Amino acid sequence: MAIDVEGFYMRYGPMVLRRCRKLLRSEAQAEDAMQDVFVQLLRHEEALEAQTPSALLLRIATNTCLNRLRTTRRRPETPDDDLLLRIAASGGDVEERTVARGLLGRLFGTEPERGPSSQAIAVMHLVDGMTLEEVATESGLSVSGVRKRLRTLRARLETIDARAVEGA
Amino acid sequence: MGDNSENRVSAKVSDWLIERLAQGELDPATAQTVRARMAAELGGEEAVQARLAALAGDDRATLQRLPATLVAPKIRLRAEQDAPAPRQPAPGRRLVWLSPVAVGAMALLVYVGTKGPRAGTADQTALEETNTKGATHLLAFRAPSLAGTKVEQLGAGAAVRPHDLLQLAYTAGEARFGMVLSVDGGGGVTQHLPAAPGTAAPLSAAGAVRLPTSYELDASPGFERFFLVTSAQPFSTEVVMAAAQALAKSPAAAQKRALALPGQLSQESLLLKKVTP
Repeated sequence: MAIDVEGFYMRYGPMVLRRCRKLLRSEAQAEDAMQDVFVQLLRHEEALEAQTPSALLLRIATNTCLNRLRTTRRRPETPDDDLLLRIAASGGDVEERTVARGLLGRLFGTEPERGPSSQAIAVMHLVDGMTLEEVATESGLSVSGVRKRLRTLRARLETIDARAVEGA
Repeated sequence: MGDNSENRVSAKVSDWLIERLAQGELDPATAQTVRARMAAELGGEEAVQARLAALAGDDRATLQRLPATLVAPKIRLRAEQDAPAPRQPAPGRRLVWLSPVAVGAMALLVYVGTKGPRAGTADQTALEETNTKGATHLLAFRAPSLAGTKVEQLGAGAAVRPHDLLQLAYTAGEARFGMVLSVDGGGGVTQHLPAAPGTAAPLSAAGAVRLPTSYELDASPGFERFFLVTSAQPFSTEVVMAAAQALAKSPAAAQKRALALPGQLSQESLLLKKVTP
């Protein structure tokens, strides 16, 4: 579908900005990230479906912010913020996964999948406080698939923690 | 991230769901549940309306401070600057950016998805035989790199790495209901289709059908074995999951043996070997 940038921005821009502000804790970075989210939306406009853009935009925003957090040094302000930063640090490939999913979508001639990364799923469950069922519904995965991704991420976090202890 | 993190349930309704409710894009049942939870959390329906009104007020404030006339051109400009190449290939040129293997995979999909005669390569001839027999197949493809130029179909025993991104697909053949799951070397079992436990998914006979989501391999050791379980009749996914969990207890058996299933269920599997980078 062709995207009316003004229309999409007016309806969803403030929502995306709030999402980015919550994750990045910086108004300037959030505004910049918000624009990135819509840029990514434009890249895939020909394959988008219009049914629930809000879920798609929130997922893209989460992935975008995780990528930024991964390359940003800042002191965590709360335990949840600390967890968020650790989750971001655990995945150096959030954008790569997203691109790869898009490629698979094109192969099948369907919508490039903009599904959440494992890191984004962890944020939805552990930082946003969504239940496994809610995460599954919002991400299009099975509950067992969500559980598995969380287990995988937990193993990554434990590896990072172990390395940090060794390096201390 | 403690041991009980997978069971974490928050009484607080997440901002994510509140945003989706405010956009009016939740299905009616979920919207009703979210509203009820918000009312319980905030102290009544009036408080729910006040919360949603606050969001609307924030929307207006944002659009006043960052109007579309200012932001939209910046987004368009950034999109043009960031575009690595022409985004939309002309019709008939889509295969140019795919590797030869991917072209083969695409040919496979196109062919299985059509019924008409087609002059073909050896691969296509093989597919024709498969197709005319109405075979049920499980297919796996991998998109391994950011470069975005390689998509490959994975055969039995193919080497894969943790975090490889796979797309599964099936051809239904004569089967009408199906389930896709995987067992891994760590004893884990993951259900891929249908998304939720219950009854097996109705299968589409429209050629190769991709599953709704792709699948990222985890770091569990040794292997990942995918199963397609099918039947002409609906069946319970719980029976299949129980058989898979029993099989997964032994990594050696999980690579070779079939699932212990009722006789009316058919199964096909695809074993992928995990290698450590």
